[in-house]
Amino acid sequence: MKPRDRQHPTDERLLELYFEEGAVREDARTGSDRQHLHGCEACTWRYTAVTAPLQQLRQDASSEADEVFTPGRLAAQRAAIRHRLEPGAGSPRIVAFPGAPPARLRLVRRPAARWMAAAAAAGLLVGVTVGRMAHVGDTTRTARVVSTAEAPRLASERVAPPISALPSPVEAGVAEMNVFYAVETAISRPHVAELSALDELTPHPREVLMALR
Amino acid sequence: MSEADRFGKPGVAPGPGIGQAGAEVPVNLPALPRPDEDSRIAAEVKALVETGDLAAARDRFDVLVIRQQRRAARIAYHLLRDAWDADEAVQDAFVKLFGHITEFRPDQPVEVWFTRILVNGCLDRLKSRRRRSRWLLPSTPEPENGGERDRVALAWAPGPSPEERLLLRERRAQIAAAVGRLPERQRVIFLLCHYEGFSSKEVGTMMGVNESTVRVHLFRAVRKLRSMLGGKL
Repeated sequence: MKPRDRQHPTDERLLELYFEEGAVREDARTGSDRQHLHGCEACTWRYTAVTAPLQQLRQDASSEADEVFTPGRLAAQRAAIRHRLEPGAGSPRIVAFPGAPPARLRLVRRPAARWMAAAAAAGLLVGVTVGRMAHVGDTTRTARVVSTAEAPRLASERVAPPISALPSPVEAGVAEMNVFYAVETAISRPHVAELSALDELTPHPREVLMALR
Repeated sequence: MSEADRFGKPGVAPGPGIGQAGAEVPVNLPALPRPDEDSRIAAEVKALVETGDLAAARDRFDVLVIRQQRRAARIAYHLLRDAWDADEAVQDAFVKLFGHITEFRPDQPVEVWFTRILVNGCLDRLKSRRRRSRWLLPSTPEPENGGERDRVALAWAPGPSPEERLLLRERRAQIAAAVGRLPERQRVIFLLCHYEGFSSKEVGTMMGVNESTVRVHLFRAVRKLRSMLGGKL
């Protein structure tokens, strides 16, 4: 770097010079930088490049506000101020009772919403548990009905073969288990993915049987 | 609590500045060497109020309103980003200024005092808006410049083409969003120093901080804006 280049102020310093413009008192460093700025063409160009967007920003901001606050609006504002300064205008205002929230706003009580969500989740859990327990009872009854329906078949079998051929209670239990396993296998086969959650919640016959024993 | 207790009395030690607790209507600002035209008018209004000629005081105060109103509207609008809120904030600030005009010290620039009242009012509004927004959600996004009427008025306004206006609006929205992301103190200082051209000393007086602190916040704000806006600044 040449010794002369070392004197060039950085972009940050150029910004400082921009904001310090018009200051009543300037320190020695600011004075020398400003002097350099006037003499150096490259720095003058950089100064313009750095500060032009800021000037544009100020101009934009000013014109944006002026577009919103038109002369008519300012006149109305002045009239309102004048009205509020009139005698009697300082007396207490009657504020209308808020009958309904403003149209553009929707009431959302977030903490309450959180509580409601928690309560709903707890309710769902309790409901599922109770429902599951109730379902266990129903399945038990269904299981008994099934075993009763099988009775005639067993009775007819009992007529023909000799007594020794009759299934022992252990064999009957095994046969019953086989039936339940067959039903369970049929149910547990992959069917519709969307119903798997429902399937998870449904008590399986084997569980019912185990519970009965 | 009486009004005098809330707002303090003249002649006591310098009070808190903008955005600090108890800084609603600060009257005990350190003197700045600039007895300007507005301060002269404020001194006249004060004299008229003290003599009991309120009608004349209101008439004279109107002149002060006309001289300060446009700048006040700009400051309030840039801080609040809502035309109706800004309108109310400006009205409130002028009404407060008139209500406390007897506490005005002619050696102070009234502009600085008034701007401090206005900015404090705007910051209070922002605070209450933030509190409200915890409980209320807007169901439809509102345009920033104050609604349908403004939009229609702008659409029919003579000047740049609709495309140019759209681009300008987008650019303004980006800049406003970037300025809105600045910390509160940096935002206020940037708006007052850069948009409104107040000196660091004046802003320091308004905010109850020294001049160098103002400058530090200003440069930090500019640096952040440059990084946020990239090539646009």
